[in-house]
Amino acid sequence: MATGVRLLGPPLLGVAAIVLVWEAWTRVLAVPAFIMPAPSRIVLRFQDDALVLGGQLAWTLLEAGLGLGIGVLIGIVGATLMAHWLLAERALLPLAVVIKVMPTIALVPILITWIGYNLWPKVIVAAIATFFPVLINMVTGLRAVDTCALEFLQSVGANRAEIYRRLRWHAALPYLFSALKVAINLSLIGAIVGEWFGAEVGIGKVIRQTGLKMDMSGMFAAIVMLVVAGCALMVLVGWIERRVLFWHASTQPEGEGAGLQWLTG
Amino acid sequence: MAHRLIARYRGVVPPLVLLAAIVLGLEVLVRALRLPSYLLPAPSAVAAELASSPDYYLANARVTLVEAVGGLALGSVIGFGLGALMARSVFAERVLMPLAVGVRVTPIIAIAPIFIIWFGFTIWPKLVVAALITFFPVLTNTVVGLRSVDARTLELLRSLHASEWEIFTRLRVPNALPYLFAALKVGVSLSLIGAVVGELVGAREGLGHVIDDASINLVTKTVFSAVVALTGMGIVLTEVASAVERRALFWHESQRSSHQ
Repeated sequence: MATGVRLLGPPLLGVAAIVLVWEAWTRVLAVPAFIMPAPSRIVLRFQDDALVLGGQLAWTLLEAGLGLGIGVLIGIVGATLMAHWLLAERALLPLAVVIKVMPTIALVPILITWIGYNLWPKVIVAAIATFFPVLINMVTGLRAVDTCALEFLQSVGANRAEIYRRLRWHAALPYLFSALKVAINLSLIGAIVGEWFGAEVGIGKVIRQTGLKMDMSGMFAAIVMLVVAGCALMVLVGWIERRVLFWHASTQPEGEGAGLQWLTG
Repeated sequence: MAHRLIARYRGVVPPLVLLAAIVLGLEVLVRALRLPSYLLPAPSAVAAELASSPDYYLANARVTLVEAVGGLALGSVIGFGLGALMARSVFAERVLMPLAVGVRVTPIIAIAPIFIIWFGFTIWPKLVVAALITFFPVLTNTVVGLRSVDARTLELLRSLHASEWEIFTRLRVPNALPYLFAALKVGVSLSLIGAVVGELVGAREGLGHVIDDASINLVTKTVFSAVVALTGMGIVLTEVASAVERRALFWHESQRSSHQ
């Protein structure tokens, strides 16, 4: 309990300070709502819209989840190839970097022309956004094995598949989770970007349409919903990580500031 | 010298072969299926488009480049400043880090239209978007870099009565430089994406505007040309950042190549 207050107190203080200044600023200067709505207006609007926003968010989460699944799968398979086969790394890694540098957002309209106004353009964008951190971390993780353990396994005649399953995979798991913490938000952002240029449902569509109508409080209510979902997903990944990696040093609490590690990942 | 050239050449060949195979495959696919240009333009058509109006693409690329580099500079200064504050005080970290994470998980494209309303069709919305995207990696790497100093060197400096400022400039900042360059290498491509996002929501020039304009009119080959130009810019900027890193960090072990 006391540690909970110690850890959650300061961030809540920071948020409260910002909300107060924001509220005071909009009231004192009488800032019109279409430029910057006061937090109190956003909260009221959020209460009104919560159910509708929740339904829209569910679609976005579905798109992001499918995209994340595909992206993680591509990342793991690609990293497994690269970690075992130098030519694959030499040929594929620069290509992966090119895909990463490419502004995916520019290709969304084209994807929609190809596939239509359905779920899949959003899933593809989310997958493109998420595969890179997983790939990079997995390549590092699959190689970061303990040399003694590797030599021991080789000396007892373990083949590459056994070494992969019993040693490399476990060594890579901490790296995979730290990539997942980045990727989970990237998948949400990817789904939103996919919805931006044409969607019938989704929280990105809500943000776009309220923005076009200059309905700022509706827009901020949707953004708040999204940020809350993003933070909740990050906490969820951190929780699963502590469950799965209970044996690894990175999940052990240590000293000051350790409680915020799940945030910075 | 010759050895290094050959080593570099050998590293470049496999990706180039793969890239050439993909480009060739696309060309054959488009020609064999007679795909209309608005669905998928042939690579040769994209190359011809870029070659036919280089001035148009160069002028717009310059606009985007200025926005991206300006935004990166702004984001780096903010990220480093906040990072230095957080590295110094755990309380500041506890207050500010969740806010920074909140900014990071917010899809910037969702809030970009607000900046257009605030700042109008000027360079500022693009700078702000690029800065918002780039500040986070700089921030986290600054915190880690400033904190992870060698304990014995720190004790030595303290025993010589070095002031906190001297410790900061002579030990902590040099120690943080490799982390900062790692963040900058991520940041250059992010800043380009930020500038394009800023342009997509409202601009009169820049490659993002070119893409927006062309995709509304279904001129797909222009969209691809702009994307190719942006990707090229991203690769060049990342290489520039790496080159500056090699110059500035010649003393650091991360810059020693493993085969020497």
